Amino acid sequence: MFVKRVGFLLLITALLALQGLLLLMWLWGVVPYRPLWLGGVAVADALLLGWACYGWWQTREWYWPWLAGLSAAAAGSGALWVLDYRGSAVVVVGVGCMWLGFFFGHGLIRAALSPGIAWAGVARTLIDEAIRMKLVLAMLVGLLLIVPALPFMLDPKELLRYRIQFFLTWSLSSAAVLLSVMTVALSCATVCGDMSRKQVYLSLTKPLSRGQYLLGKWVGVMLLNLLLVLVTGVGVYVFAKVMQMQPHRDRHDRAAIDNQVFVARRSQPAQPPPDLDLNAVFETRLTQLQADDPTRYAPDNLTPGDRLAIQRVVEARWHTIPPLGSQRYLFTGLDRAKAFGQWVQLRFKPVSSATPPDQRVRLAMWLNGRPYPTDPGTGLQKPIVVADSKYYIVDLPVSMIDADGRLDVRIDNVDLDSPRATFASSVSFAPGQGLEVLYQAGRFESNLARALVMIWVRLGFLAMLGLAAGAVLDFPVACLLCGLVYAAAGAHEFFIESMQLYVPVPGRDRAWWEALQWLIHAFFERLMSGQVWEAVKVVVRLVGNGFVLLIPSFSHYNPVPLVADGRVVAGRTLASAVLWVGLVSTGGCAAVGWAMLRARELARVTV
Amino acid sequence: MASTESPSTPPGLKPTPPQGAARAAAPPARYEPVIKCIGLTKVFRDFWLRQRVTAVDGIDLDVCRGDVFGLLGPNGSGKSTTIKLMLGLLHPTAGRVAVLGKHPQDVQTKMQIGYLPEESYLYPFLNARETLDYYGTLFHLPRRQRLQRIDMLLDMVGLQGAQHRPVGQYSKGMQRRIGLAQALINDPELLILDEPTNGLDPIGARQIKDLILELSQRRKTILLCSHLLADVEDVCTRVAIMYGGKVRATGTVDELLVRKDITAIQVEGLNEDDLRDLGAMLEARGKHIDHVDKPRRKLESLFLDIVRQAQTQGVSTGGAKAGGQIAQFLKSDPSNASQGDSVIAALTAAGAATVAPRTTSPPPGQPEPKTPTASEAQPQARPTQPEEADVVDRLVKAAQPPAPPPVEPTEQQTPGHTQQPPTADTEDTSVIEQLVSAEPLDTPSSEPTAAEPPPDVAKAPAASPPAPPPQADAPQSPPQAGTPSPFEKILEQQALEPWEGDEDDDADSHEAVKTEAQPPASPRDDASASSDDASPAKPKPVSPPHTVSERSQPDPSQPHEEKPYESFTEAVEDVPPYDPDAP
Repeated sequence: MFVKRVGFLLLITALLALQGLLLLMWLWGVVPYRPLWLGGVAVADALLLGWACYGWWQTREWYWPWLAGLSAAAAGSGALWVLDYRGSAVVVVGVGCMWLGFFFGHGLIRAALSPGIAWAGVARTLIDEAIRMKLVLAMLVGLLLIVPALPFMLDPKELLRYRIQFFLTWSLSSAAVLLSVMTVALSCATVCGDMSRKQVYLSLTKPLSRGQYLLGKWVGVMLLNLLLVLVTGVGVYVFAKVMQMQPHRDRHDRAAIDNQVFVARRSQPAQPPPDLDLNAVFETRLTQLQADDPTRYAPDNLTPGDRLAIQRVVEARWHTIPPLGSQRYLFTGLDRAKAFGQWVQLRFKPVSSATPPDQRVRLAMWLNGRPYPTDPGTGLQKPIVVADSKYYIVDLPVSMIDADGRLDVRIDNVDLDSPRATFASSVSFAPGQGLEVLYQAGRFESNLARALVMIWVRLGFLAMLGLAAGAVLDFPVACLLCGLVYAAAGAHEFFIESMQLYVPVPGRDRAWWEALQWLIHAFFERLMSGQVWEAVKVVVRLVGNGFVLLIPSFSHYNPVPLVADGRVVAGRTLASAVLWVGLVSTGGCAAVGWAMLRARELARVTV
Repeated sequence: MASTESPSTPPGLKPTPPQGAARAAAPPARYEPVIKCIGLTKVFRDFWLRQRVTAVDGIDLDVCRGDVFGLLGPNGSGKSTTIKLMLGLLHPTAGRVAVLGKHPQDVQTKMQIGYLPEESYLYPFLNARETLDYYGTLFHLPRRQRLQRIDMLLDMVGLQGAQHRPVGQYSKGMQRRIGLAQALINDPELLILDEPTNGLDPIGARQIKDLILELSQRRKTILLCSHLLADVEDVCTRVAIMYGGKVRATGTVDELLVRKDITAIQVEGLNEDDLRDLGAMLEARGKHIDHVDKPRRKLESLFLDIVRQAQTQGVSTGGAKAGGQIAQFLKSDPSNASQGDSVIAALTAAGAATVAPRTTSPPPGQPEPKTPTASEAQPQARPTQPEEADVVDRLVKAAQPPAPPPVEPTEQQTPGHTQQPPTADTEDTSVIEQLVSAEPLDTPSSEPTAAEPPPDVAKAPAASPPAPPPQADAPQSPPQAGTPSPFEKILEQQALEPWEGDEDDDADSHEAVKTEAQPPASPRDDASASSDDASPAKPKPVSPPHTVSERSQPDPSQPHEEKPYESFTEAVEDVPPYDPDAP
C-alpha cells in the first residue's frame, strides 16, 4: 500500500514537473508556444484537481490536499497563460513549485525522524504541530506569496540591475524576518503550550530527559526552518534568474547585472605604495603629538587605544587628496581575479571637504602608470566626474592587473578639462569600503547558499532562545523577551552607538576591559562628587553593555546586503557566525534553558 | 455474628501508626518494593514563597511488585501529588521516593513505567495513530514494533475506526482510551493510573478493570488512584487511604473490608417453608436471620448486555467501538511471557494441582478450563503471587498441613503487631461447620451426627485447629448415600468457587461435588466470553443448583444473564441496620 501511494505521488509529481518545465521553456523561448497544447494541459490539470478534491473528500488521506494544491496551481497557471497573464502564470507556477518542494521536504524530514529515537519523535511532533498551527501556516503562505509575487511588483522602468537587487534584498530580508518571527512564536508556543496544557506530564514521564526534550524541540524547529529556508532560497534563485532574462535597458545595465549582481565578489582594500611608509608617518605624528602635549602622550600614558587612534588618523590622511594633489593606492592579490572574469571594479566614494557648486567631484585616474579611462577616438585621458559623497564604480579590465596580481592606482584631485579651475577642496575616501577593488571570487549560487546558511544559523539562536524562554516564562512574556533580544541583535551596532552617546567613554578604540575600568572609575568619581544622576547613567550604560555583550550581533552577520551587492559571503564570516551565534550564543541559551527546565517543577502549583 | 465489632472500625482496618514505627515494619525481603516513599512531604508555596498548603505530609508507602495498589482519598487529599512526586513531576520538600530502586527522574527507569494522568493531556493536532506512534518513539520502540502495538492497542481500546481523526476532536472518553493506550505501549512493569475510569463508559471501565487484572496476573505492578471505591475494591489487592496529605490506613483489601461478624449465604430460591425451617434451626442455635433479600442484577451487567446485543445486531456508531481483546503483547500468553513468567506459571499450575486446587476441575464432559483469565480472576481473596522460591516451597510442603498464605504486612503496622492471617482463611466459618454437622433440613427429626464428614469449606486454619495433613493415597470419606441435604449442596458448591476454596481442599471432595454442580457464573466470565472469542477452553457459565456465598464484599459473581434459577443472599449479622442519623 505504501509503495502504491509513493508511486502514485511520484507519477503525479512527474507530470506536474513536466508541465512546469514546459511552461518555463515557453517562457524562455526554447520551444514554440502552441496555445492548443497549453489548453490541453490546463484541462488535464483541472481534471486532476477535481480528482484530488474527490479523493480528499473520500479518504481524508494526508496527501490529497497537497495534490489538490499542486493541481490548482498547475491549472491556474495554464489558464492565466492562455489568458495572456504570463507574469501571473509564472507566479502561480513558482508558488506551485515551492509548494511541491515543501511537500516533499516535509515528507523527507518526517521519514528521517521516524526511527525509534526519543528526541527525533519530539522533533517530528513539533513539525506536525508547526504545520497544523495557523500562525505558522500564515507565515508559510506569506512566504510562498512574497517571493514569487515580488518580481512583478517592481517598476519596469527602473534599471533591471536595481530591480534584481531590490528583489534579492527584499525577498531575502522578508524571508529572514518572517522566519524569525515564526521561529520565535513557534519555539515559545510549543514549550509554553506543553507546559500549560500539561502535555509534558506525558512526555517527560517517558524515558526522555529534559535535555533531550529541548534538543528534540530545537531540532524540529531547525529542520522546519531548514526546509523553509531551502524552499525560499530556491524560489529566490529561480525568480532572480527569471528576472535576469527580462529585457535590460542598455549594455551597461546588462554588464552590471552580469558583473556586479550575479557574482560573488571579494573586496581588496588599498595598500600603501612601497615608497610610502605609514609606520614612519605614524612615528612622526606621534612625536609631534608628544611635543605638543608631553603629559597626555607620554610613552607611559599611551594606551593601545591611543596608538590605534593615531594610526587611524594617519590612514585617513593617506586617503585624503589635497587640491591639485595626488595619492597612490596599491591593490595586491588580484591574480585570482583573472581566473574568474574579464573585469574588476574599482569602487570608491569621494567626499570633498567643501561641497563644490555643482556638487560634483572631478578626478583623474592612472592605472599602473597609464591613464584610465581614455577616449577611444583621441586616446586622451578622460576625467572622472562623480557626485560628491556617492559611491561610484569603475569597471577595470583584468588586463590592467600586472603579472604579480597588483594594480597601482593613482588618483589626482584635478579638473582635467581646466586644471586651474580645480575646486579648492580636498577629496577623501573612507579607509576600507570608501576605496576598494572588487573582484569575482565565486559564483552567485554558492554565495546565496552561504547566505542562507547564515540566516539559518541566526534562526537557530532564536529557536533556542524561544525554547529557553518558554521553559520558564509564559507565552506572552517569552515572546516579548525574544522580540526584545531579536531587535537588540538586529540593531546591535545602533545600541553600541546609542550607549556611547548616552555616556561617552573617551577613546572609541579602547578595549572592553579598559572601557569597563573607566566606567567603574567614573561611577565612583561622579557619586563622590554628588552627581548622582550622572552616576546612575553610568550604571545604565554598564547594564546596557552587559546586555549587548550577551546577545549576538545579527547586524554584523547579515548576509542579505552582501548577496544583493554581489559581494561574497566569506567563509570566514560564515565560520565566525557559526562559532559565535551558532555555538556560543545558542549553546549558552541551551545551557540556561536546560538548567532552568531541569530545576523546574513541571506540576508546580502556586497557591 | 459472634462479634459485635463496631461498623465504624471494620476488622483489618488499622489506624496508621506513627511513621517511625511504620518504617520499622518493613516488609519481608521477598517483597520487592517497586515504589518506596519515606517521609515524603510536599508543601506548596505562594507567590512570596511562603508555605501555604501541605499536600503530602510525611507519608511512608511501599508498593511491591505484583501489587494492584489503590490510592484512595477525597479531593485534595494528596493522591495526585503523591503520584507526581513518584513520577518526578514534582520535587519533594522533604523525604525520599524511589521508583524501581532509582530516583524518579532517572530516565532509564521510565522505560518500565506507564502513566495515565487524571486527564488525557494529548496533543490535539495528532490523530490516534500519530499519538501512539509519538509515545512509542519516546520508548525507543522500533518502527515495526510500534506499528504492531499501535494496531493492537487501537483495536483494544476500540478506536480503529477513529484512528485518523485528530485527538482534539475526540470525546472525553475516547481521549481516555487513547490515554490508556499510550500508557500501555511499552508493556510497562509499573503502571500508574490516575482516575483511569474517569470519563469512560461502563464498557471502557470494565475493560480497564479486566486489563488491570490481566496485568496483575503477569506480576505487573499497578498503582491505581481513584475516587471510585467500587473500582478499587474490584481490582486492588492493597489500598492506602489518604486524607489531609497523610496515609490514614493501609492494608490488603480483605484486611480492610472483610467483616468477620457477618455471614452471607447465597442459595437457590427458598420458599417460605425453607426459610421458616432455616430460621428455626438458627434460632435453636441462638442465631437469627437478620435480613433476607433477593439480589438485584447489577446495572453494569445490564448495560453491557444491551450494548453487546446492539453490537450483535450491527448497529453502527461514530464513537468508540467496544474494546476488542486485550492487546496480545499485554496478555499473559505463554508465547509472549518471558521465560521467568513461564516458569512461574508452570510451577504455580503444578503447585495448584498438587497442593490445593483453587479452581475446581470441570464437570465431566466439559473441557479443562484454562488458567483463569482476567475476567475470571477474583482479586478479593487472591494473595500476592509468591516468588518462584515460594512456589517451590509450596510444592515441597504439599503434603504438610496447610499454612495460611502469607499476607503482606502493612507499612503502618507496629513492629510488635501480630500478623493477621489471610482473610480467606480467617473468615468465621464456625457457624457453617455447625450447620453442616446438623441434620439435613428435610429430615428435621434427625440429630447431628459426628460421623458426617466435615465440609471442605469449613476449614479455617486460623479459627479452627489445623486439619490433619492430607494424604494423597488415604481413602477419602465416601459421599453419604442418598440425596445430600440442601446445606451440603450449598456448602459443596461454595467449595467450587475459586476465590473461596481453601488450599487444603482435597481433590476427592471436589470430585464428589462435580457430579452435581458447575462453577458459578460470574460477570467477568460473561464479559470475557463476549470479548474474547478465542478462548474456547473457557467453561461456559452454567447455573449451579445451589450457591452459597460467604462474603461481606459486593458479590461480583452474581449471575446476570440467562438465569434459570433464582438466588438471594441472606445476610446474617448481629449489628443493627445502618442508620444514617446514628451518631
